Amino acid sequence: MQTKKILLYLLTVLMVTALVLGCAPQPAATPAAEEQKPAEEQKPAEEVLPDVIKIGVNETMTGWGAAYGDMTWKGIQLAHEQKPEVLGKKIELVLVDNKSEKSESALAAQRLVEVEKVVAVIGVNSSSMSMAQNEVLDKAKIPSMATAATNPLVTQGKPYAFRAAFIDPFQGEAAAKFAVEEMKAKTAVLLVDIALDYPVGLANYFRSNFIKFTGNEKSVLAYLSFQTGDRDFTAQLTQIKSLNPDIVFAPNEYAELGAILQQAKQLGITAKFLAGDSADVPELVQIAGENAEGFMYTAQFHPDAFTNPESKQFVEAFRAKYNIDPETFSVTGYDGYMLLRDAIERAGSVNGDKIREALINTKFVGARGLTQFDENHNAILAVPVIEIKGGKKTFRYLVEPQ
Amino acid sequence: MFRRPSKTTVLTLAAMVVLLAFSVWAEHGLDPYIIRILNMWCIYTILVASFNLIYGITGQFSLAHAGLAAIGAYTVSLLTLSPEAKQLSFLLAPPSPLIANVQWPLLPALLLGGVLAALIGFVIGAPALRLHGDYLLIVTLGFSEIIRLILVNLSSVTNGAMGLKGVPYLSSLTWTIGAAIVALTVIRRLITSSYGRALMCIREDEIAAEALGVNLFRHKTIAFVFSSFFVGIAGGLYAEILGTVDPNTFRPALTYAVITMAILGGIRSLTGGAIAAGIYTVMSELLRTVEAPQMIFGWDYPGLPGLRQLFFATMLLLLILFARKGLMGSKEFSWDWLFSRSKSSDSKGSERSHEQ
Amino acid sequence: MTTDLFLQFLVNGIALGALYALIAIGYTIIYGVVQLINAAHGEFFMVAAFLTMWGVLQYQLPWYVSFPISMLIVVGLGLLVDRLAYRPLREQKTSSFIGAVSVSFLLQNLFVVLFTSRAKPFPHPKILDEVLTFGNVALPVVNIFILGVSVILFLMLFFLVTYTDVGRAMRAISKDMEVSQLMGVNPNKIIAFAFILSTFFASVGAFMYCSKFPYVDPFTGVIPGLKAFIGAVIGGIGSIPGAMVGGFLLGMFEIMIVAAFPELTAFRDVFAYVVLILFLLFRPGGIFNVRVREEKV
Repeated sequence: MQTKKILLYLLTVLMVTALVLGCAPQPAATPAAEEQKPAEEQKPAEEVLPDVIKIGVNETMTGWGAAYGDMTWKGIQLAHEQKPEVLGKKIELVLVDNKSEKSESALAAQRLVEVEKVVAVIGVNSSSMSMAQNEVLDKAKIPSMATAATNPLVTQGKPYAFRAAFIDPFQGEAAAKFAVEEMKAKTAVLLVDIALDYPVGLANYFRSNFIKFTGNEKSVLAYLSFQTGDRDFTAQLTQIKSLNPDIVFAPNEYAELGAILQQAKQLGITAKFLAGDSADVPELVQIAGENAEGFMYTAQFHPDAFTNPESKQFVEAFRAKYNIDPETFSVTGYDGYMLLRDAIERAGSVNGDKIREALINTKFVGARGLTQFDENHNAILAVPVIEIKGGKKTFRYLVEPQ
Repeated sequence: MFRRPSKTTVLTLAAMVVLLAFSVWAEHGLDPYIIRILNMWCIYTILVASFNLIYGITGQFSLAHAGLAAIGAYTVSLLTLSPEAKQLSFLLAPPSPLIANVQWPLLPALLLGGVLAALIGFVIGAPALRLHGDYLLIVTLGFSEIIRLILVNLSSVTNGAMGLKGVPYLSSLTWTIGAAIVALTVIRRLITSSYGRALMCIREDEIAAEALGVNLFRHKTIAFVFSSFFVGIAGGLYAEILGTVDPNTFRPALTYAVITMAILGGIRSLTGGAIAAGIYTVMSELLRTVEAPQMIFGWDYPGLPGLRQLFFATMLLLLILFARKGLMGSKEFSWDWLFSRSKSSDSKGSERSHEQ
Repeated sequence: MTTDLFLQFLVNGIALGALYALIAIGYTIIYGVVQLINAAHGEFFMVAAFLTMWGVLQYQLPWYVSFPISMLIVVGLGLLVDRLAYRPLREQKTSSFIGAVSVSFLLQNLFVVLFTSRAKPFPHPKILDEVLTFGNVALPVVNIFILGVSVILFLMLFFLVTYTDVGRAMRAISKDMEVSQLMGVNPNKIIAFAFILSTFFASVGAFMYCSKFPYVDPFTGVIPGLKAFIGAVIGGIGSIPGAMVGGFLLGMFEIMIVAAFPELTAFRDVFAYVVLILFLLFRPGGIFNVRVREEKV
């Protein structure tokens, strides 16, 4: 009985503390109150900016996407460090972790809008989670800037959703183009993680483009599948070995990719492996070791891929701050922040509709050169292809957008 | 002629009306964020109450909750999504003709979800409830996972592991509160009836119960079916609130979360279950602050993601070790208790609460 | 299917089977002695792998130093968990299971908080990456290693359980705790020993599993733990030969079913659960027909 009382007491104390911490009045509450009204209402003739402009960051900091979320956050933080203010006010980043879960992503977005009262949200690097979040944000008329999420459905039909990356229809086309024209591949097999949106979508786009570029309907020999978390791919790989394609397109998460590459080498498979930007993580090479030799993938970034001075500056600053090279996820975080900030600057306001207008008219030179958005608010960018040579990422080729 | 309703009944009915009126106001008067939390609270309440029925009252430790909730969730999603939305969502395989062109309103969809879950509950329960202890636990866990895996693999019906998006928000706080009220009322009626007493008898000593003429199979199965029905309803509402479903939501971790709440509240107390569901939901949100980076008294706290789950796991361990009866033990809320407390400060003598 | 292909699958099936058997033994030893399903067993497995990886990554220890240290830590952890979380709940079946589940989640999330969920590469002796080729069949050295170590450990366990005093005491306790106590067996000591054995097997299994599939994250223990558990139950939970056979069969089955019916990859896990349920409904004692205890919850 005593213990129960103590526990109850502790629980109450905890709850109260968390309540106080969580719902503490925001410093900018009073002058900002007018700022958060929905767009329809009459705004005062002169908009009063809050003392601190809050931008939400919704990322996969834990769960299977932890690596991606972490790297994206690094990019965002670097950008924030370089440009911490806009319109003369400080920018405050509010980070929430969605645990790589869709339901959490939606809840996190809601919290950012309702409790933290952010003016915009950066994230998520994962398409599934971005889609969940954007349902909430679009309804609230809060602009969102997805980071490395590449599925077209993230922005489709959502006026307030933008994305600092190219989309899978283009990535699939770029990969197929590279495979057919540079790798001279005539046959391919798809090895897909059907438990996630991204691999399924990208594989589909690759398939249709590969068939188009080879002009041969039968050039994709098979579509093999597995589920996230699987570790043994002998079954699929032995099938691949007997089909003997020129390349295997496996746009999966890096942990499974590492195991796939290792087991493929063990089985003596000679086909080349090609993947998408989810492979752009240092752990991949660490896990696969020598088996990653010759492995290629499309990515959002490579330090050697873009030649404009902003790109060089970004690479150097990133190296100096973190001691590692930037890649796909950090660049989308960095550019995402910069693009949003630039739009707020040009809009001269933190109003959702004005930011949105400004974003549509973006002509910003970021770490990947001149960045603009197409009619679906997706960034029009070139796709670098990276090859693993001698255990290192080497820049191989750049596929330009149309 | 009507019996004059007792004071308790009047008060309880009044409370229900107040709650429902509150829900109607709240739908437009409160932040969507708070509404979402309240919705989740109600859904968890239903889940915990169902678990209390099957475990706290009947003594059958079943881990099938997640799978049964999945059935309700998918039924409601598939029935309420418009045919166009289905065409858009189904990426792995075109939607099966069975579900491609149907669109039902919420109430029949929800009811069907509950009924299907109850049916599956029967299919699971009939053979499984013969077993005891560990074996029952394992079998029910196995069934829960089988359901989930089948949902993952029937791509033309469920869109496989990618799940369904854009489930229309046809319900509202009134629906969830209403459903919670109904669930609690029905389960409570069941518990206080002679059926309920038979169930408690089974919990205490099956052999004695059988000797007293209690049909073990019938009673256990009916309890399980009732429990499953409400789990299905809760699952359906869950899909409504979230707007998306995918099989990953319905892993055993969901069942363990329900168990955590049930233990916290007291496995034999519906009131406790409702309170615990609230604590869990609210704490889940409030604890986000400890996961996010922030300035604490001038110190740059980097944020520790994962702390929320760690907290709940630790809480469950501490509960099970030191406070197994939870908050309410076997006690339920009663109006008498409330009034006697307010009447006198030394209310020990006049405290009357139902023990069960 | 060609013979080469079949042999290839067989080779992998045997290796995975041996791994699951190793882990399954851990479950069954504990269950045999205290009738507790140690839901945290998969996490002991994970901790062993994680600490080994961490020792190498953070402190640059060679793997043959990091691994024994991790094993000692995990054994200690197992004893601690038993003492603090399981022993107080010894009498209540369901509560002890819930306790085990909470320990399992606790460990998973503790490691998430401390180390993040990022999958990290697992350091292992380079020789295990080598592959021997026989015609068209590739035999990774790690598989030979797994098989060899497993067989040696199984034999050692067999001798331990059959011929040593401790082994006899363990068997006695699993048959009847009260009578064993009357015969002079100190249950707590034997239970502690059971945990030492169990965590030892988990650690070795972890090392070999992560040498074969070279990455670790806080949730690495979930799937192998579950599969090995299913195997142990199918073999007869509480029976050591049962765990070996059940775990092995499940591993073999997992590989061979996909070999025989590639279209059914997706339903592979469903089959395992269905077999499990069929066993529990019609032969709860498992393959080795362990005596089923009718306990109250």
